[in-house]
Amino acid sequence: MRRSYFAACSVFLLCASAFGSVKWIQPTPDELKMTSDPQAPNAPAVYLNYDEYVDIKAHFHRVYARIKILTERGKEEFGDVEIPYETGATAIRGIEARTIEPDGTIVPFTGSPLDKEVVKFGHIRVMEKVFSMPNVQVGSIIEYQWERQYDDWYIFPPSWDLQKPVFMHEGHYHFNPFPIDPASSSGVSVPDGMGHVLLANRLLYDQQLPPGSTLKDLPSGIDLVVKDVPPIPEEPYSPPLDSFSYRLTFFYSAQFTGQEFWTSEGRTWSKDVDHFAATTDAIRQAVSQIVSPGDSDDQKARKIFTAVMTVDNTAYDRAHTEEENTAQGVKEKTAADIWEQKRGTPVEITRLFTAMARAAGLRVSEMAVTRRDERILNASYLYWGQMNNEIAIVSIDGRDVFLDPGERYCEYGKLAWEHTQVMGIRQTDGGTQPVLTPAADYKDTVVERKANLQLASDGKVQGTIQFSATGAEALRWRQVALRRDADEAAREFNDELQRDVPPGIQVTTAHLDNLTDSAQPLTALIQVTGSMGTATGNRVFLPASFFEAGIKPLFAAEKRENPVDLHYPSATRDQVKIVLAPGLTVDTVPTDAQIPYPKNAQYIAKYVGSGSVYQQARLLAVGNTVYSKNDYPQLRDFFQKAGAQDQQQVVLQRGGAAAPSGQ
Amino acid sequence: MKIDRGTGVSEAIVRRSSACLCAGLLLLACPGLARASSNPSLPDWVMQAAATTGSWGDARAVVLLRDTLLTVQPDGRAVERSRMVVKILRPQGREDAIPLVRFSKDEKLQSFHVWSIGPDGHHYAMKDNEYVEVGENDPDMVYLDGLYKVANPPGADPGGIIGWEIVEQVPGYESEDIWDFQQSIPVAQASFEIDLPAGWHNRAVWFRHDAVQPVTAQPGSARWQLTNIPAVDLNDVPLHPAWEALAARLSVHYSPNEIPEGDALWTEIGDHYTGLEAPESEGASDLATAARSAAGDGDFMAKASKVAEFMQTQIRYVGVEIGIGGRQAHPAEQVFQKRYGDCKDKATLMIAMLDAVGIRASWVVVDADRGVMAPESPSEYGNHMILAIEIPQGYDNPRMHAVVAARTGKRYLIFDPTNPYIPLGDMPDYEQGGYGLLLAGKDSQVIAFPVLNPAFAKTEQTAKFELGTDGTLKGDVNVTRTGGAAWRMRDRMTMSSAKEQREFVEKLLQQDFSTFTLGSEIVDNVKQVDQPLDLQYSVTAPSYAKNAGTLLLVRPRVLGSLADPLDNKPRHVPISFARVGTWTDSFDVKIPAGYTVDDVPDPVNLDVGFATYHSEVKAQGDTLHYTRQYVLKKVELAPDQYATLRKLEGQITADENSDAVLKKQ
Repeated sequence: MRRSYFAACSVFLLCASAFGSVKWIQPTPDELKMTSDPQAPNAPAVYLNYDEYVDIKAHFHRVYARIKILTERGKEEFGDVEIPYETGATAIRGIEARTIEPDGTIVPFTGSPLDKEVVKFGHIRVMEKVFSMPNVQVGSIIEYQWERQYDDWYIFPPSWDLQKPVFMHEGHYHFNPFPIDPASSSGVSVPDGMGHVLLANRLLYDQQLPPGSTLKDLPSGIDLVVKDVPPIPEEPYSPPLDSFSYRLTFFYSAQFTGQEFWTSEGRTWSKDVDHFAATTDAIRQAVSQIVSPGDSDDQKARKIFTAVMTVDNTAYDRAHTEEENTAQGVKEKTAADIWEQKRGTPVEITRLFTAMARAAGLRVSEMAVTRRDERILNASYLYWGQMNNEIAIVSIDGRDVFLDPGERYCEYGKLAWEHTQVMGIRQTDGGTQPVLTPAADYKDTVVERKANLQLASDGKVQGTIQFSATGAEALRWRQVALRRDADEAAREFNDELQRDVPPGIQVTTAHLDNLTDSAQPLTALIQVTGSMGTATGNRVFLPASFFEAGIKPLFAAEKRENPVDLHYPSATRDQVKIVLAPGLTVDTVPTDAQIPYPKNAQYIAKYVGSGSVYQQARLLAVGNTVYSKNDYPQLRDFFQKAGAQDQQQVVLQRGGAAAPSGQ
Repeated sequence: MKIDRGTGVSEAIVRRSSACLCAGLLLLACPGLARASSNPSLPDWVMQAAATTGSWGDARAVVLLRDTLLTVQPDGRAVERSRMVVKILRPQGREDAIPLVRFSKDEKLQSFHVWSIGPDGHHYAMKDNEYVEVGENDPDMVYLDGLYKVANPPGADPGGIIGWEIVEQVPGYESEDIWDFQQSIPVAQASFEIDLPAGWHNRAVWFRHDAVQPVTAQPGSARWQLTNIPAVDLNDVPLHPAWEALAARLSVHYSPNEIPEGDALWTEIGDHYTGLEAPESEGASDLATAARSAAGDGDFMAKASKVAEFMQTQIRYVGVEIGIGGRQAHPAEQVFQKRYGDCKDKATLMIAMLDAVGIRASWVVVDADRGVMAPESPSEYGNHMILAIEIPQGYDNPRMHAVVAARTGKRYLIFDPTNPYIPLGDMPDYEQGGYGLLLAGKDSQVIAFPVLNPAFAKTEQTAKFELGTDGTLKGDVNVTRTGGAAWRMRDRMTMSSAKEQREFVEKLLQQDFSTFTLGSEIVDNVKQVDQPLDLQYSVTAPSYAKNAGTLLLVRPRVLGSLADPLDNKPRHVPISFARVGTWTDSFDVKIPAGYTVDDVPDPVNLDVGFATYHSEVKAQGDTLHYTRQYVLKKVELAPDQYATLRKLEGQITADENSDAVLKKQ
């Protein structure tokens, strides 16, 4: 990826190119008789051509598409066209469409597109022009074109996603920009994503182009032709794919380079932080109630962190309306206001922590970050709005401790996984600098499950499970309880566990403990009832891994096109003890197993059968969470082997007792 | 509340990508914009409802008041005023307290007001410019003219109370109002009042509720009142019928004429509908020519099948509903020319085409969910249109399964042209066992749809495997589906790429193997809906058999589970299955050299009336032979049969997980 500066051309040609007014393209005989596409063997349809022409000075944006329908699904996906637009600022005009049947018959679209309201709020009204293509059959080619006209006061530099939902044979993109002299004091007003408006007089672009494509700087504007562009494959456990797709984004900027932009915007952001997190008398007064003069820095930080965690976080609750705030005399201007009203957004709560920690004499800096479940920070795209969260960094005994007070009930000293290993901008003594947040360790998220069960001679099971979790797993359930309530969290937790245990077993989780105390592991005591095992002759078979009997392998697909993101490292430790009824004895247990996946993961299972007691211990630790496409076979193999081991059976012998009933 | 479910539902057969802007998402996007007036006095009815006390268990919210007044004008148009007061009891109850109103060109919104009381007792009144308007969106429909107005009221937290009032016009072509007093949360108090012009009549029809006499019944006016209505909450209830099939409601029909009851009311509704649809089925000559060309020569079934095939393959599902277009089809000629339409458009075009080849057919109004229409509750309630094709007297054909007889003595073949995967002769499982309104003018009537023979919906799995000494299982599998057992798979395969088809098979195998490799995989007859759908593949599953000392444990039921996951909770609602059918498995597993069969699971033979299950494992030479057959004969069971079903499912699960024991010689 590279970022380039482009100087707007001084000669402006108004739609004079051959591109200016697209006419229909006559299909070739091969296109008409085409029933599948060797370049896109699985495609429901393919774009034969896709063109976009954007002329900012003339204030219009033209789209032309020519699509070959290859399957019934293609018919459904592309047979109807929806063109969104905002009334007032934009209008859609010049809609033309036609369908070409496989025998070459041309069926023009003769109706009027329908105008459909999508949403209206205040002065904003978003509409859609919708129409259905006539006579669409498998084998048809559909063609349509339309123009979006802008109001004179608006400028919409194009942002082109160069990967379509289906394979594209040829895409032609052309941008005739608004001429701005970088040396002049005039420019366009652009939001910076931080709540400020900047006067921008430089047109820049961020590009991630398909191989073999290059931008051309023509007298008529910037021109790009791309060929044979595949769609983005959708697969489970993929990182945010929009951050990896082919694209070309134009934007106006007040700066020339990324370094200038991030330094300048970082300084502005840092000032905002410091202003909001001012250590006012009210904050100092509040802190004096929380920390003691003799507390160490670590104790102070922990106490303040715990206090801040009691503040209602609107990310998990309902943001209050202005009227409600007015009725309650609430303002939202500074950290002191947040502390007073005991409610704030994640960013406000993080800044409250910063203010209080600074008031307690701690050295704290903030860091703006991008959640990696949503996007990966693109430093070439000079837009601060990519930073959607903040974390705090406290210096304790010369060591940076990364904290996440904006993630309610995140443990002290840990970050929510979405904030781990992400680039961001950190406050420093001299301003700001880009840094990487630390990665999580598998010891940060530990799940422990201990089952103590009794198996009766008829297969009935009774017992308990002791559950505890830390890190990301504990945070997940704590935040479920925040969004809904504790009863609902217990119910959902129980449903998840129920899917994992052997068929016939019922688990009952009355409640989850320590939901609001992130200093303690999340725990639960679960009752186990039901029945387990099957009988053949005088043998009884039990699942050797009680907690994984119902789990299906993580990765079914043999092939993979995207990288894999498992989100966070973790360790799961299980211990199972089953005391057998008189008349049942352990005959055979599986052989102990170790499945290593060096530097990435580890699986260990041990089984002990002695007379009337069967015990199992199991550890699954995953240290690495991101795997390339090339790593996928090994990753799949590891989980398949672990899954196969989890399906082992214990053989019991019985003497004259009733057979297990199964359910 | 007016009937706003419309017609034109396509049972998820038609898929189209479409931006979905739901009200909830929108509210999240603009949470801080409300500027409701400060501590105003609220209407008395809100304050009185807010004072309601009661015990509502673990409900997420409670409707304290649901009050509807329908005032009908002499020209047939009406105005409906609805009042609602909801108390939020748990955080997730906020979703039940979102003031929302649907309106359209014909159902003009006269006013919409929202008030709230915060948990701290503060009062709020919202202003007109604080509401968000959202277009009605259905992923199966291209255009709907409905709009929603939605509010994000202050104070919507547990303990908070939200009240709203809607005044809306009801178009003159409506003659029935539906009071859906039972909700997914408890209702403390509900009332419905109708005020009619002098000389007008009303007829109250109850659904899933004993008839209740109006508390006031003056000439031209009636008011019904109910209190403490329990919730119909189907969250986590396995195999439940559709919510609309269980929630009680009242249909109030109104007319300047006497309104009949029972079957006569069904006839009147059907006659009215026939008048709406019949003119649209007039076809021009090119349509008739095309129909004759499509139908070709042959007998009734041959010609009708060809027209059905034309409808299923040539007419794309596209829904456009404006005003009365929610219930009236577009002209057949127009649908034919554009080659697209919704369910009623397809039914109308097919009637016109059949007519052109001398076959008479009529529309049938149904609901895509079984149980929503009931013969004892005459109503326009329904969301789908299919057709009934008149069978010539004395004609018979073994392919005609979906046959009903009308009280006129005529026999009809029921057909749903919206489902492209069910051939003429069969009917979709979701319509079997339900009811529909046959539109035949003065001969209109409610008709019961048959539940087809389970033998017409067969799923047969056959496989031959070889087991290695290391536990690896390798073999070839053939899965054949016929009739109603095939259509969902045909849909999936039609709408999937080859890669997605393979991933689908891999996901199926994931249910039975912890480690496996899928070899070749072929699907045949996806589009030949009158032929069995065939899926063939090869698979290798390492570590399938488990070593236990000198033993090798093998699960003879290699593939596929027939057991539905059930819970242990008391059952209060009927049990609803997707369909009847017959499932058979026949798997051969050749055991490795050096091993003998030491023990096999006992055979299982179960007959519980509504289902039978038989399975057996035999050791024949060096082969384990597993066979089973499961036949499900009913689509719905009474709640008291849940224990029997649970026991059956438990026994099936135990059988499915049983092991055969091989011993090293």
